[in-house]
Amino acid sequence: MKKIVYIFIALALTTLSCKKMLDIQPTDSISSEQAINDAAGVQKAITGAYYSLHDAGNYGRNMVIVEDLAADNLSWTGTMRDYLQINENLIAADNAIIDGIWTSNYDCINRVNNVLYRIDGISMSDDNRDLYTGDALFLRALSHFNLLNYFGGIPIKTMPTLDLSTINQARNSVADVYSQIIADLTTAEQLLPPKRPLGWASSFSAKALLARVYLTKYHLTGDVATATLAITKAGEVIGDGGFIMAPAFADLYNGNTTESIFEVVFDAQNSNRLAQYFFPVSLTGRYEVSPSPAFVEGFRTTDTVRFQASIAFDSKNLPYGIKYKDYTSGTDRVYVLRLAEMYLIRAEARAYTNGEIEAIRDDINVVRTRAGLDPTTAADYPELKLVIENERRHEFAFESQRWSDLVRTKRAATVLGIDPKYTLFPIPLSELQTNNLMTQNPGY
Amino acid sequence: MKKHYLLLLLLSALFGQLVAQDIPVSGLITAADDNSPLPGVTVLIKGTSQGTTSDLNGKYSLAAPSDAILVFSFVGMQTQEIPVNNKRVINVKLSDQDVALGELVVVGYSTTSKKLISGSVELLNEDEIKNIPVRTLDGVLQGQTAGLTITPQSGTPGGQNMMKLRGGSSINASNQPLLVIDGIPVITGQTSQVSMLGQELNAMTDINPNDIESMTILKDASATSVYGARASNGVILITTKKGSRGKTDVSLNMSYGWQNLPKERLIPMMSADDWNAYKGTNVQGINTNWMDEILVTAPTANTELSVSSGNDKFRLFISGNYYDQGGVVMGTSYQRYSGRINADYKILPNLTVGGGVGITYSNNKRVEGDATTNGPLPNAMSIPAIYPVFDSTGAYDETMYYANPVAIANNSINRAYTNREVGNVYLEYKFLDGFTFTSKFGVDLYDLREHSYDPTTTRQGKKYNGLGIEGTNYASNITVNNVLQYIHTFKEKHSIDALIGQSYEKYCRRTTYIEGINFPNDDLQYLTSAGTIRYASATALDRVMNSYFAQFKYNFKFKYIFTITARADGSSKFGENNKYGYFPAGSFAWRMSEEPFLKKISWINELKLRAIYGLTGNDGIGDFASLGLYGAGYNYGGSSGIAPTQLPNPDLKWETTTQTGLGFDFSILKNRITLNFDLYYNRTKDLLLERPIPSSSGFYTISSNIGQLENKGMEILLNTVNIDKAFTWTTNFNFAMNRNKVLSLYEDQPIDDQGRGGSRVEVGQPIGIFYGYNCLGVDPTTGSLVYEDLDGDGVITSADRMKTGDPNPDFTAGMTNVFSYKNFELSIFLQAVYGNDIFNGTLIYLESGTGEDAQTARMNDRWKKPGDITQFPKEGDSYKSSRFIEDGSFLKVRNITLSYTFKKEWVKHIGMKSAKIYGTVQNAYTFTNYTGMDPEVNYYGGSSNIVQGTDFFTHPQTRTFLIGLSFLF
Repeated sequence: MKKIVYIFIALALTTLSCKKMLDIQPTDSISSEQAINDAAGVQKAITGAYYSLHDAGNYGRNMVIVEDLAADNLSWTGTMRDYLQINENLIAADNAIIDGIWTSNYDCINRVNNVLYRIDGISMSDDNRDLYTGDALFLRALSHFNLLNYFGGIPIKTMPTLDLSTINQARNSVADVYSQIIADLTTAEQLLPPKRPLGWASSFSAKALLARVYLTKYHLTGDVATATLAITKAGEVIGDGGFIMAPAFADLYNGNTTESIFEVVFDAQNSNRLAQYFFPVSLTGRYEVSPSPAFVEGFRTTDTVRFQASIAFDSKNLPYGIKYKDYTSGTDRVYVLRLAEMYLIRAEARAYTNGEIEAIRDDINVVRTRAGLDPTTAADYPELKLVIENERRHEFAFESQRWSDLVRTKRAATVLGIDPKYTLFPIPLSELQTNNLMTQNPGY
Repeated sequence: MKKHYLLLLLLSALFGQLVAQDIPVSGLITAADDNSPLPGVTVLIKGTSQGTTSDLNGKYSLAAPSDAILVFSFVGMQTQEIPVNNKRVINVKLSDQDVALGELVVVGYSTTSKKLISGSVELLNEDEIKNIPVRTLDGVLQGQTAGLTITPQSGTPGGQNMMKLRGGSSINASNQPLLVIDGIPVITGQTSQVSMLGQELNAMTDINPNDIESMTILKDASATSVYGARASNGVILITTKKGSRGKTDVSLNMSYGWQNLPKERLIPMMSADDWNAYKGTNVQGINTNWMDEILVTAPTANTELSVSSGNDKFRLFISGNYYDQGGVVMGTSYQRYSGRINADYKILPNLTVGGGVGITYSNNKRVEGDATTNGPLPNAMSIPAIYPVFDSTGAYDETMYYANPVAIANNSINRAYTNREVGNVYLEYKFLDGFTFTSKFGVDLYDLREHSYDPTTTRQGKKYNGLGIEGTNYASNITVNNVLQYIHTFKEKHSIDALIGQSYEKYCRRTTYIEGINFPNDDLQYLTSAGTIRYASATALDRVMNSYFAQFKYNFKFKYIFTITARADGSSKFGENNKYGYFPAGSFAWRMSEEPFLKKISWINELKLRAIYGLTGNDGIGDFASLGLYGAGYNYGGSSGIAPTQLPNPDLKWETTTQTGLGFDFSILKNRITLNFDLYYNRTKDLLLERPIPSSSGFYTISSNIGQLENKGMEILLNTVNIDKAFTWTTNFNFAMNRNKVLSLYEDQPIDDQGRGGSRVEVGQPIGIFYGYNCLGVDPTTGSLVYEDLDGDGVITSADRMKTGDPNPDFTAGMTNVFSYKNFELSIFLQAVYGNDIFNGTLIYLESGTGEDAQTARMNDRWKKPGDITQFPKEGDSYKSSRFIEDGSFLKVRNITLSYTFKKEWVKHIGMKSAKIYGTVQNAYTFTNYTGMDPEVNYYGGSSNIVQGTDFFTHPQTRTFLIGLSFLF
């Protein structure tokens, strides 16, 4: 019987002999050091940065919805009461939707900064190095620009967060943020190839974004040279990009690819829920947001082609947005930049800087003609400005443009009847409470 | 002649033995109290490992040196040593140990007498467990012990409870007590992957309470620190039943009952006419009571059969259980089939091997719960009465905003199947004089398979053309313990009980989860038929813990009792720089009643003063929380991608709680009144905090050891025998107060706005206070809600928030009164919680005055025109305000049981030892001012301990009527 005892003791002691037994590594994650140490790792990390555009706080949902909801295209008709605050332009600093926009854009910035921080130490072909660096700079500029538009002068991040030493950072001035965005895009424009698959940034994506950035900056500074740059960049995209206006407006939402300068692509595994949020209950949707009655009224009779591609009515005669249709799989693309915008950017930059009326009309009419509308006959700048504003409203309904349009042109107070200070969203409470150098926007 | 040969042989044999100085000794061992023979008593020759055990008739015989000392020992009896002195017959009477030292209690890695315990330990034995009709482990514990609060997350069958001992030691790490079954730590918590939001699964429900012989709740460091880094939340030790010696008992228990939701607790809602008046609709002829449509009276049944038997060497316990709990919400139920075998065998008088295994299969039919727009209960509460269940074609009406709950309850498939095996084998070897070596090997295997399918006849299913999910979770926990114990009493004064031990545990978990859509036909509900796989994942996790521990107990004449304990825990969870944690504790008890000056006072039976001090740990952090990590699955445009998910913290370690306690046990009038009183002060430092960091960094939080909190409190246990005549009346009363306070956080930044109700952690306040806007009521001129502008800047901003409530109760209490007369017994169990606030989040929607949500009947009194004075606004808003804070105090008549035990003479004829019939009402009535359905529920807002007392369409607890029979053969 003693044998049994010895066997037990021997078994028991075997558990003591293993020295490294507490050293267990995760199987679902890898350490930061191993993650990015070769060209493949860099490529995966860049892909991970693009992935953040999928976020619900990004083009995956809320940056699309908020633009039209905070403005006058959409109304809140659902259950998520944080949307109500946005609809009423009375946003609390703890609003989860706004928090998500902030967080998602900074997530993207941190991901690309990790790549930019490490890429110099990794050997790879020059083409690859240019491509990944260009991708990183484009995404960083896009995220900084979105943050700038929604929150004002925000902290510029050009270094990755590796530990806690850099997490407290003060706001930068609006001018500094613009400088950073323009510098990043100007480099990206040189590094990126002219042609990329859908969903990935090309040199023309960078140019197109630069056009938008210059136009926005012009409205802020009134500096005519900046407007000229916007005109130049838009012109380069129109002239050299090889993009073609989709023959029919409805094609844009039925698989046309010729007009897309930059878009976010989705698939069944990485889906958006835009259609579910737009679709009415009778079609199993959530109907969180719906086209506001005034918008429907002004749109439906004057602009039939675009209206019919944008808004439909269900069996109860409730209007709902239909630019995102795939409520089952959520694979609808989300446009970030497309050719029509370049024409309208050029037209707007010229209209605000007393450009040639005919040229302005020509650009507007490219968009109007495609929509089956008569050419514009607007003859003076104030009128043209309003025509452009309305074109944009109809052309880009539910495409993440309306709020930025009204804020950029300082028309938000007039059109929406809100206090100008509320054209900036509140800095999220979570950031304010943890970043001891952060300050809140006025009015919150 | 033959006789002579025999005699000669015998003589020569005797002669041979005389040379060895051995003589045959035999005798009878009986119990001192009733002179019944005691089988299985160990008889050892002192100083050797030679000996025997008594047989079924209490007789023993062995050969022993004529000058030897025989040691007679038996569990629960006082050991006796008797010199042989050439005597051939030695009869022995053994006395119960508890005459001297009280009943035996299982504590960490050993067993001790209750009277020699110097810490705070509470015991729940078989008899007490048996009288509770609830058939889940945590249900049994509810309200029974002081200081252990158990809050159901939901009243759904097999649903999860939140356990907390002495206020909870942690903010972000687990507050779940360590659960140890027969010496093996087992898997607890929720591992379900199909999101049920508020109706999570609970690994504890797989254990059949009828298999439990005793439960010991170790509350303070002196008792728990032997479990080191997992001891801060207390330890619950469960001992399952062993076979009986010398007799065979067959026990059969059956019960059957009905459950419903108490009608008086349902929230009165607007009728169709009210709705027409409110919304200006004009719907006639329909007035659906949606709650009636989804609520049912649900049956529940339980059958338990067990056999317990054994002889002096072998003991066996076998049990089987079938438990079926229907759900009061259509489409829910829980069934459990379980079996257990415990056996042990004495190979030699000093060598025992044994083991046990419990096997459970359970089948849980579920529906989605709280925070979802696809749950039958929340949807039924949220749909106005003007909608019919079926439309004119006979199909489910789906024209309302929320999906038709009857369609979901009837058609959605949602199953969780559990296979659970908890087992152990052990060897116990006694050697030299007083040494015992025990080696134990245990496994806990927990397999969970989930299957879900939403057919196109539900709104969710229609959206996806069928939505199917398969999830598996395979978890195992393997434990090896080795313990060497030495017990000895010197000069009949100095008693030593010392042990050292080692333990190794390995936990592994593997999961898969697949989600598919676009099914061709609703009959094809498995994923092989899915047109599109929308999501798929498989994960793996290993965890190792290696520990060493030691305990030294000393007492002088059972009067002065010292205990010193220490444990070293090494865990793979901890950071590079802190792999091992050390947890010492000490305690002292003085049994004053043993002093001559108190011994004279005959009405004092026991007076013991206790003091403890020690450190315990909490390792309930995420695995690999110390590493800087990149995660995968961040795929885009057909490429696979990675992204940083976690910042490194190589210093990450366990939380440490310093526990200080004082108490006394007082027992008078022949133990008719016993009082246990405890005071404690627990201070936790190095709090594991998912510390929020600015999200502009690309991260939300970092796991770090920052912050301190304290819990101080008082616990009283009072057991009295009030009347002890033909009519008896006994009362068990427990009372606990706890005060929790956060002492420091990182730069004292609050953790803000958690969960639905704006729960918050702030320095100087208890964990999880409600923090929001102070609602001043409804403006009679506009009908809008008015909030207090605390900073007077003219606008309501986040700076205008304040503490609006506290979910932590002022005190909790439980009281059981048992009345018996002749063969009748009536038991009434009351439970009370006082002074806690609830955030009634349901009303955010049901008293919103806007949108498509059904409204409470109170909203008929809403503001309608200027001048109306009312507390219900024209239109609500989404501010988390004091408007939704309510007093959550309650007194629950938890249980009333009336039983009748048949006369022994009657049942003897049909071969029974005893028979009993009983009727029970569980959750009979709730006294409360709370306007929600149940003040005792908590919306499950994630794993944090911060979100407490938040009601959000939460499934209330059910009222159960049971009748039962129990037989003993």
